Amino acid sequence: MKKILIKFLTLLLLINSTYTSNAQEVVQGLKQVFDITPDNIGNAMVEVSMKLNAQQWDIFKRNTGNNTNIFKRNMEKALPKYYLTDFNYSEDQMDRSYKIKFKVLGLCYLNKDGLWESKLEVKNPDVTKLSDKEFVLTQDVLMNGTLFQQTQKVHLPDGAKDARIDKDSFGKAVLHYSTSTGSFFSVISIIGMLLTLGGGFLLFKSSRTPSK
Amino acid sequence: MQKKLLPIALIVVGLLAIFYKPLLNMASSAKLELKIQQPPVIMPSIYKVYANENALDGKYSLFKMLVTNTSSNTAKNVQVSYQISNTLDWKVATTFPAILPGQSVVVNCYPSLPEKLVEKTTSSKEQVSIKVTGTNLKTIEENFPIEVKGRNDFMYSFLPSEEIRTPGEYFDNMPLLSCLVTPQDPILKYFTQKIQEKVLKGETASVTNKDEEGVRFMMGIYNATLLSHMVYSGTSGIPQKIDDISSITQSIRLPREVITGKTGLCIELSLLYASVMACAGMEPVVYLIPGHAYPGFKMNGHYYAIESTAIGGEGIGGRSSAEKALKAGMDNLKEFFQKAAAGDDRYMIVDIRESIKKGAEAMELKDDSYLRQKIDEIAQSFDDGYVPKRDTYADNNPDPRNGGGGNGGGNTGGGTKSSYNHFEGIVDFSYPASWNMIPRNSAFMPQQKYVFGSRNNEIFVSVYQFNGYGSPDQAMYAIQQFVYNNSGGGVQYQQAGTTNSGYTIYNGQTLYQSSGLNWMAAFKPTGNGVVGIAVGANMATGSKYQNTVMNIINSIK
Repeated sequence: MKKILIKFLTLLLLINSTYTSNAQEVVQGLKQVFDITPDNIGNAMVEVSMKLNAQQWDIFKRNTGNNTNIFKRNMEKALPKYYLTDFNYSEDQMDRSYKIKFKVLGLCYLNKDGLWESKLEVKNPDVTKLSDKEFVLTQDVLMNGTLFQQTQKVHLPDGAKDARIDKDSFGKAVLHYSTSTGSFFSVISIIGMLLTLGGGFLLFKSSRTPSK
Repeated sequence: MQKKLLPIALIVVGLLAIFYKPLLNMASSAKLELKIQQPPVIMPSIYKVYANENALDGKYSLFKMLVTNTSSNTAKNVQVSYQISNTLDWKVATTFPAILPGQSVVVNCYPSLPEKLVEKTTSSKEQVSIKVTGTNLKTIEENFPIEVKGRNDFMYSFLPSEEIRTPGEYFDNMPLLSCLVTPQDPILKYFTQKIQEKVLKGETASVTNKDEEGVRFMMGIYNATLLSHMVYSGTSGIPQKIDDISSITQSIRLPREVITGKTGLCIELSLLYASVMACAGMEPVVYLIPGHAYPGFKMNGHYYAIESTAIGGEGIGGRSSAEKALKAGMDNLKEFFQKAAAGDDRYMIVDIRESIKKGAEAMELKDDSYLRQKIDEIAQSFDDGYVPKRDTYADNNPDPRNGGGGNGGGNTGGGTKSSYNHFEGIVDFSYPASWNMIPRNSAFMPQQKYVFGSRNNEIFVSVYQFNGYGSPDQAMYAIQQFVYNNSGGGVQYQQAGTTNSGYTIYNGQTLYQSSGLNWMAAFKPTGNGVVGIAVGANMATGSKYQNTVMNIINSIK
């Protein structure tokens, strides 16, 4: 999951590379906000929003123009392990901001313990747990003289609980959480248990009643 | 009894309610849908990359598969296994304990291919079989054919044609070139030691980290290639179309093969330099520009380059001294950075250490006493006082040990000057005296003025004159069109440099239905048009005539 964020940074650097390498000027910190929202079946919507200053916006538009497909193909190239779909790009020219949304299929999967799992592919991430369903990851990355201040929010689906960051055998961070995907099953089970108990009680009672 | 009927019914219904799902799962099966993406070929030289899921972001897998549960039942204990015919037995790629209805999972397959794959020298068609099994699944089997290339074959891009946006993306696989940089190869190490000992008489480039020492080391490699009579030569590189992917596949000799074969194309020489420099602890880089590659290194934030092909021979740029080669390399570098900074993505640097760090590691190569012996023989030429055997087209350049240029432009087996005839006319060049002129016939191109060939018709040289043509490229295009229109043959070629006398050198192949030619050509513009020669040998003869081809090309004036 973290890999996606880092890769997006790379993508933006690709966009800005001409500027940063030619002009040898340090672009002021680019603030990026990532919202990652896994759904109940392990797919995740990723939304990236960025607001740029006048100079940055000029470079950004010069490099991308109206070819927003460049985001899709570069993301697909940068994230070869994943299946990405449902790309959407929107921008507010007046506000010099844009949003890119896409869906990552199978980002989380069920492990042998019945927990949802997603590999962050990074060691010791700087993670803050806001609630049982929300995490925030922050990092500043300096690349080619450009400072990227990233805020990454992970919004786990409704019903998610016991979320935690563990380490795998290689010391890399892994996100675990459980969901109540079986809630319907639980209601029926409870009804079943009540019926079984009720039946058992009646059977017991009838067996204690002396026959006439 | 009737009184017990109701409680028993309640218990049965209750138990069914508790266990309905497992019971349902036992009775009902799940259905999975697969979507598979596979590479066009397997390149044995990158077998370590295939095995490492973290290498180059996991881009190079045997296949990537999206598995989606399209049924309303959970698929349980789903296992994905695969095999490659004649290469790899069945292996388990991954197992999923459960895939919920509607859920998708991604399987990336990173196979540990057998090391013996690097001994493979020819291509073969194999079959990849994928099997998906599960507790409540009907086994799914999928197959796809794949070409397993030879260890020297390098495909420059796996991107589908429709996804190519910039010229640079035709070379999307460039970071994989570091898999052909072999600093750990025992033969390469031995060669490096000989350079350090006999050519450089000791070196400290990686220890002192001084730029001038790094430059001295690089020039030492150049002098070693000069002294060992290494020449610039071609190797097969043909555009290939596999499904919707069009790419150039080139046969790239390993550094040990370049050393012992004493011939190398620009990219091969660059990889040799990179291997030797990496072996000595330096930070090598390879600069790639349209139609050419040259080696260099970086140190203390500075980049250096050398024109390694300046050893080429008289006909293809002369045999320059190391100083001249360094100057040419540094001049190239200026242009390189200008173009790269202007955003031309065909100008790229392969940072070998960086690529290795990302997982593009070289293949394992075994020690070989025969090759060590060859290195010993080559290293004799590094000794002071060694008198090399002069070749057919040896020039008058002084010995590089004395600070001068190259020694000998040909290669061993080139024959003697007396065994060659000299042609003077449209162009000046020499060809073997045993060859005969082939009378003009209807198969000749109008601009093909003379043809001389060997008695067995395995090799020949054609003299061309294109009146009114503006550039060598135009002439090459005309030849390509003529061959296609008159015999259905396909001509593929690439520029391989220019000579001091103004000739543009091309390497190429002409492919017919059941045969083909490997050739080199040299063309230059004149006041009236373009003139030049093409020397071609039957593909079936392999490298038998490589020296002869080089001798003829080297002789053109």
